[in-house]
Amino acid sequence: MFNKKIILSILVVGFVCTAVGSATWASFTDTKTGTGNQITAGTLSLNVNGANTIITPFNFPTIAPGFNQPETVTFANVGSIPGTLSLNVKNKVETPGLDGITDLGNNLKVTITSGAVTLLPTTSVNALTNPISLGNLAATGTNGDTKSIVITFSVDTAVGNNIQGDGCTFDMEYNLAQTV
Amino acid sequence: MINKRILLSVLFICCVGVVVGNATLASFNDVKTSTANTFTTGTLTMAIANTGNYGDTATGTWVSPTNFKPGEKFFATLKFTDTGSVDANHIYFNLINVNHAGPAGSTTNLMDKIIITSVKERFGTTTTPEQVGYLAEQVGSGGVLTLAQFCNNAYYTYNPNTALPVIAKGNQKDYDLILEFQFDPNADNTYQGTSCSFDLQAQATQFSPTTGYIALHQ
Repeated sequence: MFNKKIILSILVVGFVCTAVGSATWASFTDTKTGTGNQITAGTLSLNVNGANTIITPFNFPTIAPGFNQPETVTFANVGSIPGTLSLNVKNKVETPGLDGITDLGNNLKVTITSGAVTLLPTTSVNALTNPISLGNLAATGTNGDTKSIVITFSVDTAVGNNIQGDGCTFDMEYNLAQTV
Repeated sequence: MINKRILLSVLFICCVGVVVGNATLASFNDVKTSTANTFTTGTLTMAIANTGNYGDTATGTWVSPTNFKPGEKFFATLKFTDTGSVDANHIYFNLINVNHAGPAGSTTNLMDKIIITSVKERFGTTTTPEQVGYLAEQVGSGGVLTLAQFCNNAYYTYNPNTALPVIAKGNQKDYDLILEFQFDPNADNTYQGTSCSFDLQAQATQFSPTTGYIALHQ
């Protein structure tokens, strides 16, 4: 009997607790739903001289001491994310000339400017082992989304017959990387 | 039980670290490559001739007539062409290995009695006017240009049409040096049996300084 009373008491306490609990949790609510939320990744796309795929390589078949050839290269960021532009010279191959020695890579010089700003002081092709920073390109449609640089290839007039018949071939990789 | 919780915590931290690391390294980029940019040097190779048979090892030798005597003249022509792929804008002339010989004990120099009576140059289809008077002034010889005086100086030439090279690439056979020599009509018997010789060294260049050289034409 005693046990039965105890059990009934516990049950009563339990119900009271439940009722009090329900009263505590109940509150006014209002819900609004923003529908159609969408997340789309931006794009980062580089055009070189107006092309997005094939870039015509430079080809100079009869250079000689005193050679000085400025070439303008124009870049456009046609994506929606600003980026940082760099140039990497890769896969250089030299062929010897009349003297059987590969001399041109040391004597073919590269200078890069953008307006009055020098991006690369005169440097031999052989010394171009690190990426060259060419500055920033803003996202398309904003000020600064295009940029022109002048790459000047040259051979000093003091260079002699040792470079006659030499050849030098390399790739120029332009990399537009997301600005962090 | 504690050890198990510690291990789980460490694993969790590691997983979070990997995720954060990937998020830091990943970014967008776009690469465009111009492949096989090619730079090849040309060549400048000069060939000479007397009559038209140009060769890289031709000597272009001038020889006076047999039994050359006072008053007699002969023309000497040296023709140049550039068989390479680079233009030459200057040709330099140096007279080297200048020698003379006469009878034993004689100091007679035949070069003093060989008079250069004509100096002309052909550039393509154009031949310069007579330059011997101008050259005599340049070497300070008082109007008569002897071979001895001529050999004391170095010379250069260029195309009077400065837009053009003196010898253009591609074997154009476009430059001649034309001289006329005369045995001085007043030479006496002391010059009988004497001789003289010299080498005319020609160097074709793309361009070079001309200080110290006399232009062969005005």
